[in-house]
Amino acid sequence: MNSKERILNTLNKVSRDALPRPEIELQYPPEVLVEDFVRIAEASGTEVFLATPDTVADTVRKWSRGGDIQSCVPGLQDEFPLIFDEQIPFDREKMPEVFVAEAAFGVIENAALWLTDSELRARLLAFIPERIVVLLKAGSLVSTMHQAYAIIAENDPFGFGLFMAGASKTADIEQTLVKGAQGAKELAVILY
Amino acid sequence: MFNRRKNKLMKGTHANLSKGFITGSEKTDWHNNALWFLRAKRDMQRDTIPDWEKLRATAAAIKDHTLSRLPEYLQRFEENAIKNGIQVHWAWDDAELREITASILRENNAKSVVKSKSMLTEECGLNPYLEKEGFDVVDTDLGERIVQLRKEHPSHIVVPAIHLKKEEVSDTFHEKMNTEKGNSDPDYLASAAREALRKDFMRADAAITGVNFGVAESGTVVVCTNEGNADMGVHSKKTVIHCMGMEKLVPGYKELAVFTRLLARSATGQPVTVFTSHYRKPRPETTEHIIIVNNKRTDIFEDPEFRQAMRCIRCGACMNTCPVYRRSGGHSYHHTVPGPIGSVLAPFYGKEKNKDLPFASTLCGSCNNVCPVKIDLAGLLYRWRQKLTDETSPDLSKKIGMDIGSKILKSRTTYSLATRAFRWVPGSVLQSGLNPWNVTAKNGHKERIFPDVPGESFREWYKKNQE
Ligand code: SF4
Repeated sequence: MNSKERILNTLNKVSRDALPRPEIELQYPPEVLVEDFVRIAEASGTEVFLATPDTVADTVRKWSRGGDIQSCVPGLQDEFPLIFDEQIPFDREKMPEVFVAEAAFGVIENAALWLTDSELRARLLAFIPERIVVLLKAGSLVSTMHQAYAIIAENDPFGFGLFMAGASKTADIEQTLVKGAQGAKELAVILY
Repeated sequence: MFNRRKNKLMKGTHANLSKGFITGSEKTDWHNNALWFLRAKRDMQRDTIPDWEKLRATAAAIKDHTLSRLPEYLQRFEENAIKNGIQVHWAWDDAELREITASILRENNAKSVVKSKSMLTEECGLNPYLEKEGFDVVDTDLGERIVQLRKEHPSHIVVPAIHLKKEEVSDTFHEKMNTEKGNSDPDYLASAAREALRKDFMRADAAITGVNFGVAESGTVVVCTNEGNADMGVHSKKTVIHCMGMEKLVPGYKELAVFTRLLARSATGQPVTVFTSHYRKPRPETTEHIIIVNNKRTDIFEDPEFRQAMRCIRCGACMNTCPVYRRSGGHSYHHTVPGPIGSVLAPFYGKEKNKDLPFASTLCGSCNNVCPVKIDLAGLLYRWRQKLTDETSPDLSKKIGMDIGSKILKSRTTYSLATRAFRWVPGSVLQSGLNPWNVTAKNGHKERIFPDVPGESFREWYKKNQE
């Protein structure tokens, strides 16, 4: 008997009646308020900018403070082409200083942004750049994780999916918050 | 001879291991406050959710449902993960997890590994084994890296280095990474670690992670971190291994939503962890593995009273709130998982060896009130006390004390004789260094001192005053 059989047999021997799958009936805030998203994002140390489709590129440029910008967002990649190479991920020449992606949607209750392979192009791009900008359509906000996962379950399955809710951080040294523990040191969200 | 034996008997119990930590109130207070800070932040998050209690009840019900159909969900999870291109392995115990991991690494020619936080691999002794087998292992969570460099174990399951002051971290980094001596600025230390770890990420051949949730319906592995260290490894290495305790399953995304709302709020008082990563399909040319681990979980599952302990999502909230944990520190628990839940689990890994742990609690029930999956921790600790007293060898010093105590308390005459006799012991003796429970601070201040003994008992006083 291999370990799989041994585990399943042992469990089966003592399993009792199956309990029903519970209904999930929890309260959702009735309205989707952009202000709440902004407040919660800022509390997690994320900078939030309000823009229009025309001013997005400018906002990115200003925030980049002259750093090398790369993007995989269709409207921006001509201006900020992506040269990052997943095969040599730690190559300093190819690594963006500022990476711009567009989130599929955002969640108000925790300011988390949903990004998958199709929004990121290369998975490591959500982690390795010094700074990250995420574009988010204000109309794509949902209130809670319940609606968020309902959308995820409906859409085509992803290979890699990520909720990002701030810059990489740690409080492992005496509870002092330090940004940029391993991944990006700063995160900005541009709502438009 | 007697002393040696006594030492051996005393060694290793929670009461003894915490002695150093609680002697002198400075570190105790500091640790206590650091943990309470997390508890307070948790409360603030709780207050932002109107039906928080219902959320907890739902989470508990989901876990109970999943456990009641665990074999089915495990198989479903495996099928889906395989469909997604991930290889699935099953480990009966810690030894098998270690062997499977090593053989995957060997097959893929991997010599060095970057690891993200996993209490499961800690429980299974993976690091020491891999090192013995000649692999190079680097823990990449900053807190875990700190304790790894110090050759210690995590003292908390979420904040592994919570027992250390920044000066201690600074000394360790100076010694191992050549940082400036005496510079204990957290920003400086964290950025030194970032640079060093980047090199480790570049150099490593394989990545190992723990697992927070496994989604049965989609075969997805979910890992939650604040640093992004799990992803740095997973997305840059060609060989990836996720080690998952078999209680980590949830049925589908609908249920996952409930737990992503609860985990970080309960753990550190954040609305969600910075990164909630969902791994479903490997990158091209990458081999990705999941090892499903039992290691005594079937024993817990088999026990109808204790099965609820398998709901645990390892958030650490019960530690943050526990008055005993906060004041005695995680290392005094001599088990991988400390605090209330650790003391519930530990006897499954050795009744004799861990029989003191369920007693390292006041049974105040604070843990029950914060646990996001509503485990009756205090109730289970109480149950262990009864079982362990019956099923393990008695602790002689405790037994003698109890027997004497019970003799004295049973009879009013012996009781009043005993208290009268006690009153004759001079205060100068009780309050001197001869009494091992007195504590004097380094600066000479008396921190804990035996109180003055009143000249008469309450009974005597009452009689006199009544007249
Ligand atoms: S027992 Fe409850 S509070 Fe303690 S770690 Fe587990 S889930 Fe968290």
